[in-house]
Amino acid sequence: MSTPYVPNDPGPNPNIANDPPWRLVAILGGGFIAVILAAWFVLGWIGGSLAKQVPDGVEQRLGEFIPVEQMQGQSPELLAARDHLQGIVDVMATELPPRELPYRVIVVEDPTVNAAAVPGGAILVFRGLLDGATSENEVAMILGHEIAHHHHRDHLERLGRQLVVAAVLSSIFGDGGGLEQLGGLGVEGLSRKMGRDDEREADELALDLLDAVYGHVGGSTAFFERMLEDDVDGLMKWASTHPLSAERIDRIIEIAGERGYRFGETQPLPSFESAPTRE
Amino acid sequence: MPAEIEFALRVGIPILLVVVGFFSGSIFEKRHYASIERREKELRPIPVTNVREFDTAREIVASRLVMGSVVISVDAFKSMVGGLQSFFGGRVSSYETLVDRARREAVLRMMDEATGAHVLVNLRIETSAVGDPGESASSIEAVAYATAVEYRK
Repeated sequence: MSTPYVPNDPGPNPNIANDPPWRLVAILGGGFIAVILAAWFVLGWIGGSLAKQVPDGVEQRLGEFIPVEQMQGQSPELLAARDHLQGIVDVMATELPPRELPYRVIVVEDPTVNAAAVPGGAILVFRGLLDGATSENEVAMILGHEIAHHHHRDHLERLGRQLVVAAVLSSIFGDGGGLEQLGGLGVEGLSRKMGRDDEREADELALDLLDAVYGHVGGSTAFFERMLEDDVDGLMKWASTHPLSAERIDRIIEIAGERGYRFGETQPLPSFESAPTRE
Repeated sequence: MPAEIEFALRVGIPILLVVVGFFSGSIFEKRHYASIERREKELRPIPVTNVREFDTAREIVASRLVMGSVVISVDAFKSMVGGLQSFFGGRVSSYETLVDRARREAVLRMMDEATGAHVLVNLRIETSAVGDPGESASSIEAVAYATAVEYRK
C-alpha cells in the first residue's frame, strides 16, 4: 500500500436525516392520533355496546369488588341521612322501569362535595355534599343525576370502552418507548370528553326525576351555583369529566324551559344532627 | 379536585419531559457536532484506515492498540419520535444522529489516545445499545479500536 494519503473534507453527512424534527413530529403525531381515534371510535363503540348488554347479575358481581356497604358512615346522623335520601331515591325509582338491582344510597363520612354511582346500584353521597346543601331539592338533583348514570349504564359503558381500547392499544404499542402511556392518556382524555356528554344526558333525566318528585325543578341549579362560588371551576376544569358549572346551569334552565318545568319553592334539607326526627 | 389535578399532572409531566428533552437534546447535539467537526479537522492529517497494512515501505518502530469509547443517551423527545417511527416502520431517523455522533466521537477519542502515531490501521467500530434487553434503547455505546503505528523518521 503505497498510495499517498490525501486528507480532504468530507461532503454533507449522508448518515443522518436532514429533515427538520417538527415535520417528522407532525407526520408521526398525526398518524398516532389517527390510530388512537380510530381505536376509540370503532373498538370503543364495540366495547361500550357490549358493556351495556351486561346482565344485572354480572353488574352486581362487578359492584361487589367495591365494598360500598362498608363505606356507610355509622353515626346516627349519617344513618338518618341515608334513610331520608333513600326515601327520595325510592320515589324517583318508580319513575323508571324496574330493574333487578335496586338503587341504594350510602352516605360516606367524607368532606368531599360529591356523589358517585357505583356498579351494582349503589349511590355514594359524601357528607360534604350534605353539609353545604341549601335545600333538599339541591341534593335530590344530584341523586337524580346519579340514578340517571345507573339508568343509562354510563359507568358500565365507560368501563367496557376503556377496557377494550386499552387492551388493543397496549398490544399495538406494547414496547414503543412510552407510547402506550401516551395512548392511554389520549383514551382517558377522550373518555372524559365523552363523559361530559353522559353528564349532560344525566342532568336531563335528573330534571325529569326532580320534577316528578317535587312537581317543580327549584334547587336544580343550586349545587352548580355553589361550585361556581367556591371557584372549583379553576384552571383544572378543562380536564374534568363534568361540564363546566356555568354551562350546566344554562343548560338546566334551557331544558326546564323546553319541558315547561317551573322553578318552585325549595324545601330545606332536614337537619340530621339529632336523628332520626324530621323538622 | 384531586382527580383533575392528577390527570393534569399525568398529561403535563410526559409533555414537559418531551419538551425539555427536545430543547436539551438539540442543544447538546448542536454543540457535540460542532466539537466533532472541529476535532476531525484538526486530526485529519493523520490517516485512519481499516486496511491492515499501510505504507509498507517505511520501517515500523512501534505499534500499539488504541481504543476510544463513548456512551450517548437518547433524550425524551428522540425516544418518543423513535417510538412512533418504530410503530409505523421506515427509517428511524431520530436515532441516526445519535449513532453517527457516537461513532465519530469514539474514533476521535481513540485518536486522542494515539499521540505520536503516524497512522492508525485496522480500525474497527462497534455499536451496542446500553439498557435493559427488550426495552426500547435508552443509550448507545460506540467503541472504536485500531493499531497505532509509528514509523522511523
